[in-house]
Amino acid sequence: MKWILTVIAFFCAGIAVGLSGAVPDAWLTSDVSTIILYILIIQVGLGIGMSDSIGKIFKSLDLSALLVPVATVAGSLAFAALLSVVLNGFSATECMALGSGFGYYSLSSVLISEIKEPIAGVQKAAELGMLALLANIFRELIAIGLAPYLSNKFGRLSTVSAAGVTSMDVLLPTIVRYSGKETVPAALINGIVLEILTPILVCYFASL
Amino acid sequence: MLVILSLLFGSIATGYACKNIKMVKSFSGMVSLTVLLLLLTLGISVGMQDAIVGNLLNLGIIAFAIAASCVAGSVLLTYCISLIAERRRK
Repeated sequence: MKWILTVIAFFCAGIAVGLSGAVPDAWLTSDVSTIILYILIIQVGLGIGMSDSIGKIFKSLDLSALLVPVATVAGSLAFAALLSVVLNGFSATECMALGSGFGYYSLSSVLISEIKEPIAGVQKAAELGMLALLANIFRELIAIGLAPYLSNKFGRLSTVSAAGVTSMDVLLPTIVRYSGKETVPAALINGIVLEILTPILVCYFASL
Repeated sequence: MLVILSLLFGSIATGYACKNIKMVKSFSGMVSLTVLLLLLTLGISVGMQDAIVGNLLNLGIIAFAIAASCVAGSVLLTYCISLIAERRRK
C-alpha cells in the first residue's frame, strides 16, 4: 500500500509541475521519458534474467501450471475488448493494451504512453498512459478487496487470476490467507509468466 | 516496439549470464527509482494538457470499468477452466 501511495504521490507531483507552467512546451516532444523508459526496460529484463524463477519456470513447465496465466490473459483481453463496444473514443486494441497491464501499473502506463505518442499524438498518449496507471492500480485494489468473496464463489484460483502480475508479490499474502498455501505455486507461476508477457502484449496492442 | 522488445530480451539474457555480478544486480535493483522518475515525467505530460486535467473524473470512471471488466474476465475464465479440469479428473 505504501508503494501505491508513493506512486500516486509522484504522479500527482508531476501533474502539479505540469500545471504550474514551469516546464517549457518542448518537454512534450523531448526524448527524456523515452530514455528513462529504455533504462527501466533494461532493469526489468536484468531482474527477470537474474532471478532464479526463470530457471524454475522452465524446469517445472507443464500445461496445467500454465492454465491460470492463460485464463488470466485470455479473460482480461476478451473482456477489455468487449468493453470497447460501450466505451466511446477507445478502440478494442487500445482497451486490450490497457488490459494487458495485468496490475503492472508502473511499466504498462509508461510503455503505452511512449508507444502511442508517435501514432496517436501527445495528448491521446498521455491520456492512455494515465488510464493504464489508474486501471492497473484499481485492478490491484479490486483484487485485494474482493479476495474473500472471489475465493468463496469462484474457487481458490480466482484470487490468483484477479491479482494478475501482483499474485507473486504484493497480493501473495492475501492469496494465501483466503485461498490457502496450496495456491502459492500457481500464484508464483502466474506472476512470473505475466511479468514477462506484460511488456510484450502492451507493446503489441499499443502499436496496432 | 522492436527496440523495447530487443532491449527486454537482450537484458533478460544479460541478466541470466551476469547473475553474480554485483554492479548489474545493484543497477537492476534501482528499478523503483526509475519507475518513480517515469511516473513523474508522465504526470508532467498529463498536467501540461488542459483537456486531460479537465477530464480526470471521467478518465477515473473509464479506468475503473477497464479494471473491473479485466478482473471479471480473468476470474470467469479461470473458474470455467478449473471446473472443466475437475470434471476430467473425476
